Amino acid sequence: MIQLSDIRKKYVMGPNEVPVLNGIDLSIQKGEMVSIMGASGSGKTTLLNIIGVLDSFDQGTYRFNGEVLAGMTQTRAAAFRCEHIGFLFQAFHLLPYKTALENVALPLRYQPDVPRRERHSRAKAMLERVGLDHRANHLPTELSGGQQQRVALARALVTSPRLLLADEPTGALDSATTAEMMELLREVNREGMTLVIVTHENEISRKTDRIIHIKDGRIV
Amino acid sequence: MSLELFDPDHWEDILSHIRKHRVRTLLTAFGVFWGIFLLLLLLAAGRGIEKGAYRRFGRIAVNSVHVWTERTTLPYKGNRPGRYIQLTDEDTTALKEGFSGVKAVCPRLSIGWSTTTKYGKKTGSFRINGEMPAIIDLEPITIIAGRFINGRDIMETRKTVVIGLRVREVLFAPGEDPVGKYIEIDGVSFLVAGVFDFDSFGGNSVGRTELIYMPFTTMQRTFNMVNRVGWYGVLLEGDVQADKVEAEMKSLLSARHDIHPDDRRAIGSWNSSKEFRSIVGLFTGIRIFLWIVGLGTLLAGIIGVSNIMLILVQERTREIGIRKALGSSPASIISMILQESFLITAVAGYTGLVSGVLLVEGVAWYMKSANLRIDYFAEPEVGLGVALGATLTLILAGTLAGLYPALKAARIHPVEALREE
Repeated sequence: MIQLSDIRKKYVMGPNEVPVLNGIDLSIQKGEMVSIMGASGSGKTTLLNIIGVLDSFDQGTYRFNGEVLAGMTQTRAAAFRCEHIGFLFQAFHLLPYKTALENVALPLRYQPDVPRRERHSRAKAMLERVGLDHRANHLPTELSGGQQQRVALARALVTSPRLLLADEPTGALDSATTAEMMELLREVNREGMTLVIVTHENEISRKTDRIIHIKDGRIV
Repeated sequence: MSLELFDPDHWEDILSHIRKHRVRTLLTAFGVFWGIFLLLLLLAAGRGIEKGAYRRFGRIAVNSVHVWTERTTLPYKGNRPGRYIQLTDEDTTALKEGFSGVKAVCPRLSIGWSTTTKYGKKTGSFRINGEMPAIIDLEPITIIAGRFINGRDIMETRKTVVIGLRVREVLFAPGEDPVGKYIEIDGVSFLVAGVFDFDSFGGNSVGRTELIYMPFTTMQRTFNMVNRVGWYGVLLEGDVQADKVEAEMKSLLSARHDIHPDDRRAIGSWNSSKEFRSIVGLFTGIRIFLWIVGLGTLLAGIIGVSNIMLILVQERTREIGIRKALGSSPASIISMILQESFLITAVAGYTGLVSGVLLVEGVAWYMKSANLRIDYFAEPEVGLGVALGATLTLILAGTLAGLYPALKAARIHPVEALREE
């Protein structure tokens, strides 16, 4: 599904160039659940952002389902994310003034031709799936960390993406909720979703099909 | 983007942003409200002043030409310079026949202050003019008792006069009605047909009512002026170019009296359209000035909105990043910011517009119902053009205020935005 060859990326900080990715070659099959591990600053989040077309790369080739992704405009990249990719963040990134239901329905607004009523019914079904339909009208501040991450998961899945990218999805959760969340992710994966999880916790990576270690911008 | 414009969720987002910062939004909106409100008041007051001035000036015929003669300064066809040109009834006929677009050619005469006017034991010395009835449209006078000179007075060379307010004060006892009484001018009795007052356009009007009008033909006959004409007042149709008629009349008279075509002093002239144009120019200037002041105030309001939107974009960087990560396009982000600034500007501006119109209409209604007449100020008004102009300015202002912040928001990089705490 995903084929990265010789992906390179550097950040320019003032007069200095800081290389972050130094030639990444990576293939991820459809339906795989992969974890990317590495120390802080190893480039794992940058790699995840490139896979999610949130960030660009300087060199190399990125194929998604055989299609080469290069030179995308912001608008095209946004449409691509909206159609194919779901995101899960460590800090949840829910909009604080929106209810759980509204947060989940948000990505559907960026998809063409999804009527408002359908947006809400699909969001409701997705909340039900993560076991939070009874909290649909609560604001994020009224939910626990675990519940917030489950709302974020519902939001990531509501557009039925092909790929779910999770950046330290359990980083802000306690061990009990971490286990619950991992169980949910596994379930999603069992249904055919391809998952890429960035983590530095062995406990998490052990539950994935494959662990990719990254160090100094290279896969080791 | 076009679909989002009608998406209730989209508007719900905008309203919840506004609700979150109620006081800030209100203060920002007030800037725009005040801008439009002041712009309207200034323009309406300007219009009131303009109308007030025109009300007074309108009494002086807008389109008229005045022609008189003096001495020649150049020799021509065997005539020496220094010759005095005397206008006659034949000139009147020539002028009447020679021009189209002329409402009335009024030959005029005056015997100055050389006469003595008597009523009972009271005497005075007043300027006496011989006039045609149409002169009432040329001079800013109001008949306050009786009537003005009419066609029968002219035809029958009646010995009637219309006296100025000051003449009445001098000759008649307070409270005495002069209409129907006889006064003597150089020993000849005249029936007082009416009393007039002078509408001053700036300056003193009292001196201008020390005047007696009598029928033009009566003056010619009674004071032995035969067929002489002192000068002409010519009333033109509204669409006739006074400058052109003025020049052509002067050429005609020059030809009739053998005046050198280059002799500019022999025939004097004046046309009121020059004055009128200068006043129109003055008010155009005032209007431009008021627009500049008003738009300046409005601009300050718009800059306020723009600033707040910039702060808002800054505060919402993370949200914009999240939206972008979830698939929101730059166009959608631009639309979100633009719509919000447009909403604030439109609501505040429209409130200002309506408040301004209500206040202006209220003042106009009060002035009308209380019959309030202030010199140089008539009922203020907001014309359709001004209202449309202000609305258009609003739409433009709202869009402009949001444009820069919106473009800034669209440029936000999602990865960097998501890193924001």
